[in-house]
Amino acid sequence: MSNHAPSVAQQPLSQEPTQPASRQWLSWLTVVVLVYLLLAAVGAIGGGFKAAAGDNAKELFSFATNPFVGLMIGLVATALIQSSSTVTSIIVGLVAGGLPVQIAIPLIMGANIGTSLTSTIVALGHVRNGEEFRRAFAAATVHDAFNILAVILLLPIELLFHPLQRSSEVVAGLLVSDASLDMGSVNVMKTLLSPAIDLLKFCVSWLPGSVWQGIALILIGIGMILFVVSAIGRVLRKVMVGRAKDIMHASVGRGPISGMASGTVITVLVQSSSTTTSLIVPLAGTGVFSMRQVYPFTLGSNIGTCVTALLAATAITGDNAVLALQIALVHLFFNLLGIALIYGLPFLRQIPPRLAEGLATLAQRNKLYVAGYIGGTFFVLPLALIGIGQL
Amino acid sequence: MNPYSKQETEERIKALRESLNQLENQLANHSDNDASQHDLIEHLDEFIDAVDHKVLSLKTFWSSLKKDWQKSRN
Repeated sequence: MSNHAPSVAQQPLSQEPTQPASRQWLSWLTVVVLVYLLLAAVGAIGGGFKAAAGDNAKELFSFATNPFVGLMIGLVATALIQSSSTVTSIIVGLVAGGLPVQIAIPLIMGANIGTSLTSTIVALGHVRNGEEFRRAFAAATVHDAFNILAVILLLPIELLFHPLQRSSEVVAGLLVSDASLDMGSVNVMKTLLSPAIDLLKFCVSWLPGSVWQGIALILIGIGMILFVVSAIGRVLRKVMVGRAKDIMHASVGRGPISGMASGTVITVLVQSSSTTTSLIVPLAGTGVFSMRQVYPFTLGSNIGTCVTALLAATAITGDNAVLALQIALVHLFFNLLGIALIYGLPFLRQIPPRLAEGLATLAQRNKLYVAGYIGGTFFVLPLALIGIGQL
Repeated sequence: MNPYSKQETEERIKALRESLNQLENQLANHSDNDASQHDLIEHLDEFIDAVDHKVLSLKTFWSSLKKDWQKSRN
């Protein structure tokens, strides 16, 4: 280890070397199987929700028609599950099953905030070393601050003018019609996924009525997505660590766009923004990587994580394929627009790092601020707002 | 025709040399920092699983929080 070794948090971390090339094919085969299972799970959720809800999908989610309640549900769900990829994939499945896109948009925005909790928790491991903790906590919470600011700015704009809903509708329409034309009458995804989805349907066929069968399919799909996202992350981290090193080496000393691009590519490679943002926390804790470098890298992870929802959307075929792709594109456009607006405008660009630095200074002074911040932002405030929304 | 006197020219050379030294120092610092970053990136496999150590991080924080709380009460 270099002389920049951080103190506490890294002691138990993996010391395993990168896998030898001869064994990598097995890892890649595992990845292919896991992606197949992910797509089958999203298809199962879509089919299950359609079967369980019928034409009443909107009524079932009437509790989330208030966009602020929807936002908080997305936030708390992601904070609890600790994976935005899982939550966005489930949302894609639900939209395919009939959940209206306008209800799903705040859920997606909430998931974007909820996912930033992971790196904040990782930063807590540095708590015993004051200055290292301050730097690590600032590097983690810059992601929180950015995502919260993006929602504060873009949710009202979306509610008033619907730019995300409209633009994603147009692009999804174009992409789905192009794909249909390319493939003619043969639907490749449907053919590939049918055996797995049929098997899942067969497994729940003993249940009485389509409602219970649908609910069981949704639960199985959620369970599968939880398993697959976690497993795929683990496999890809091992396979991709060498490539991630190359990308990070290439971006050193090259400025924010390069940092953003490396954050995006590494997140796509490991299929998890939590991995990328958590990875940068100990690096920032050493003091070798500055906030100026960490900030764009973290924003890149916001873009990279959208690939999972886009991938999940390919599982949906038929009439609702366009809606599934639309909500996946909303996730992507929201993050792109957020970066263009906040990072693009100098007076907004400085807000997240300043908030994060201020919060980290308070956190270093008294740990109660940390407990109050995490509990309040990710659980107490959202749950209170959900409760108030139901009154 | 040189607009500066000999003394002014010497002072300007001195100032330019100092600026140049400063810039060279800055460049050296950048290079050192870049080298440290490359060095750290070489150990990325030790950090890439950080996401799996949330429970340990929470435990570490919890014990530190308890210690701070007890200290503030005493």
